[in-house]
Amino acid sequence: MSTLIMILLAGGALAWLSERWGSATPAQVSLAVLVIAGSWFYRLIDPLLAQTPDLSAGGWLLYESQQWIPRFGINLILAMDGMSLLLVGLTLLLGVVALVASWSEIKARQGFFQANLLWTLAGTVGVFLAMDLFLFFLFWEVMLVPMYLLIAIWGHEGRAQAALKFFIFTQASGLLMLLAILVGAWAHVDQTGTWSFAYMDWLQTPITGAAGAWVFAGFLLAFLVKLPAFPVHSWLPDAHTQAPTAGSVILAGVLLKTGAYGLLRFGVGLFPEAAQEHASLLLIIGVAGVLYGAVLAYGQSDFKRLVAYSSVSHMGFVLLGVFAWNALAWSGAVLQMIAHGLSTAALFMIAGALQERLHTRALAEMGGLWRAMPRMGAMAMFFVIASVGLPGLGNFMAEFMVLAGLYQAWPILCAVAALGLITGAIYALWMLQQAFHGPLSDRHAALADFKTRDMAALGALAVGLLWLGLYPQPVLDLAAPALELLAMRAGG
Amino acid sequence: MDSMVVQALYPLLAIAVGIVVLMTQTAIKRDPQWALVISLITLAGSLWLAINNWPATPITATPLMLVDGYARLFTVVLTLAALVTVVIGRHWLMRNEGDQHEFFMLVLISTFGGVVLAHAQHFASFLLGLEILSVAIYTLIAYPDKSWVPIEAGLKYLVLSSASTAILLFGFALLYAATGALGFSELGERLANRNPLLIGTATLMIFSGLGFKLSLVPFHMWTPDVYEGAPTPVTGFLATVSKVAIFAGLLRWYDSAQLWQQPVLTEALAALAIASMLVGNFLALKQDDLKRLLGYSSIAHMGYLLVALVVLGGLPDTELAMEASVWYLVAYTASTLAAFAALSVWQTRAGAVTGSTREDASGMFWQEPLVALLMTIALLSLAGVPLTAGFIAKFYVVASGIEAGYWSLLSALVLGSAVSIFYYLRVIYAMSTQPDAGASGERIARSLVNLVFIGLLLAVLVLGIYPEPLIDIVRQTL
Repeated sequence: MSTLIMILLAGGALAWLSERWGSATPAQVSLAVLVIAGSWFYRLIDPLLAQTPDLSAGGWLLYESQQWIPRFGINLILAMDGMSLLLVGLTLLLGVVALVASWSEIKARQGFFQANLLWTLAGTVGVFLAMDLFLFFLFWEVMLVPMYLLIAIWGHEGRAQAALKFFIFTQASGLLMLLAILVGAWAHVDQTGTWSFAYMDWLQTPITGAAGAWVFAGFLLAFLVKLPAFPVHSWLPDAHTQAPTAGSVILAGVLLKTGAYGLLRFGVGLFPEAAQEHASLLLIIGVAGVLYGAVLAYGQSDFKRLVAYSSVSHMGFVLLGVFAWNALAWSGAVLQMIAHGLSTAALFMIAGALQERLHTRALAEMGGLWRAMPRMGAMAMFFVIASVGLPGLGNFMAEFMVLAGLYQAWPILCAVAALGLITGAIYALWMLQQAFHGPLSDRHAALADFKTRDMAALGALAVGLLWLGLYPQPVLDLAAPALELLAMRAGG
Repeated sequence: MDSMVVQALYPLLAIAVGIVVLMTQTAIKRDPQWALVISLITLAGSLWLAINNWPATPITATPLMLVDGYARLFTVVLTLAALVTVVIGRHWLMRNEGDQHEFFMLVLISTFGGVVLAHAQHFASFLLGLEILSVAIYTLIAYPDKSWVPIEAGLKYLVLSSASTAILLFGFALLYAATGALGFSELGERLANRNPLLIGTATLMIFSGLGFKLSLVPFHMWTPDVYEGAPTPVTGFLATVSKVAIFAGLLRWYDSAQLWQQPVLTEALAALAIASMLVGNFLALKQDDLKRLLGYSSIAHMGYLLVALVVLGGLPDTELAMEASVWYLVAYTASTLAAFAALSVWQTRAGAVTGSTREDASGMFWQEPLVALLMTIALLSLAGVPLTAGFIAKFYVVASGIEAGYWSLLSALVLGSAVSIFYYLRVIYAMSTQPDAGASGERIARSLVNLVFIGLLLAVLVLGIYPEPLIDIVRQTL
């Protein structure tokens, strides 16, 4: 697993250096690195898929540990279970999609761009695998700095503001998380006399009572900002809108999932007591996010901004799934992470393609584009319908499971949250209508349609969504042991 | 003095010899290249002696000086910082015609004072070191004789610094009146059962005097002006060697006299720390000039450092907080010096010395990648982003704060750090913007400077990625 991260880190440096051999080389290097990383990942997981993990030993499929800073008992611990396997796979897949999406968009300083892209991916993979809290925080930051640079250097007109806002929101909440991590580590010292940041060690010494609630709050805030949940979501529309296409794809596709993953793995896993105590409040925040995001999405006149607000709405379902506190909803939340990753990445790719061709993101400037670009129109239609939640596609499956799980415990909240599905349909279809239907303006008559390259990337995402919608069982089975273990610890 | 004591003082004596040689050489032939070579040999020699003569047990060299691992560690840090200053200073002087010789001599003298401070275990040597250090710095600040701004800065520093030394001395006198001792540990033994009012007043006066030198709020007023007015390499020197040496001396006194047992003092220090962290960070937000910005940020950093001092009293054992302070000083030196070195070279790049505002930094990434990289890493380290030395340092301070349970200090620290990201990032963003066409000036050959840059870059990164060796060294020295 450490090799996987090293491939991405070293590949980033290589892509940067390769700039001197030609302006197209970095993208090719980057693709090669992702292919190598992907095949390494496949080699790694191939023998694991048939295994049933030993739940008594932590349920890990892979576990590696190496000493790093013995003074504080900090180790380089990487571990993979079904849930992290799925998310790492998603990260690598969307990495390729992001690369394809930005193949012709980025003109300046290709090398540094590709390096930042790969480093963000490395940080994200690290976040999903790190099982030492110190290491986790480290990767949390590693994915942040290159993403900041991606937005700040290659973003659109309002990039300076957006990048800064993104960094400050995440960093400030990250500092609180660091504080929480240190308090947790100190509690461990208090109970055992030795420093440790290892997840498995912390499970042995649960932090309860008021201290536990405070530590949980520190983690929670960092994850909620990342998710993002209402009312700490305001960095998201700016960052997503201003980021270059590849940045938006990675941000929406995987970076948001680190927040959701953190909630499940660390929030619920380490502080079940505190988490369950505040579940009702968090569920209300989740419902508020679902509805608020949907309402604001409807009010947008900017294609990308609309998709960004729809993310707020859809990620609200993940929050609902996590705190509905049963296995069905948790499975739904995991499924929603993946389905939303695939569908939103595709929508941002389409948004980026539109901006590259039209030089605007305003919906008012569009209209009738289907006639000019039928392939793009068909793809947009597919992914819009997927994100609306058409049965047979992944998003429907995920949101349905979340709502079904939520209904068992909180029927009224579930009913309110279900409204989000209706509002979702309204803004998404409205967007599709504005952009692709209606009369075609003469200015836009000669636009270039998607090439095979783009169609292949979107096609892969579409197949993924279909698979998740029609036959999600293998994915659910993969994640099940991890969630079962969580249920054992949380008593859910 | 027996030979062992003399041998223990070799690193200090080496610098003294170097100063004399440099003076003699100046009298015979004025050639800055020679001066550079002599200073480099002196500092490298002192460094080599310090590392190879690591004392197994502390050696008391006269009642004034204590040669132990702690003193050695700071000798290494200070001479390394002086080495960087000499190289960067030479680069800076090449663009500024005029006498260059004395610059090197003054840096050496000042470093000498700093090394004395690191060894001090008595108020006499403490004061001697402090004054040798400061007097040379007054001249260094006002060094470029053609412009008014440095002279104004130098004068400002001179007047305020003298006043603060007077207050400091008064504090020493009061302490002597109360206890009859001037040696650090002796003093600590006699502090109990003395007039608490007198001791409280005395320690507060001493800390006011030192607070000025360390630019703690509310004694910080001079900092931005002097930082801005001084030549950039000198600002870097002032921000690191001067502050670190004084803090090292102070820390030894604080630790061996067990001053954390004085509740009045620790409460006052806690107030100073919170004020420094908040004022430094919030005022840095308003700065457009990078040197002023780094000035305010250094105020904040001294505040973070004070946190470790304050929590010493709340801990069952002082180990963690002492480690935190020493680590912080080392990390702060590396990062701050790196920032000023990058800024100095960037400023001298385009013909005459240019300004240091944020706009002046635009395009650095694309015209001088190495300089910009160093600046970025330095700023990220000052902001406390992981994989840099600054992160481990902040980690240490927060860990010791948590151990002692000082939540108000920690909240100020987190708030200050969050704010600081904003102004550091703005600089990084400015560096990444497109340069104006045709702004690139010719470059001077600078292989030595590049070597120093790579050294600083490695120092900040290696300390952040693999901190264990330095942690071990620090633990052994305490």
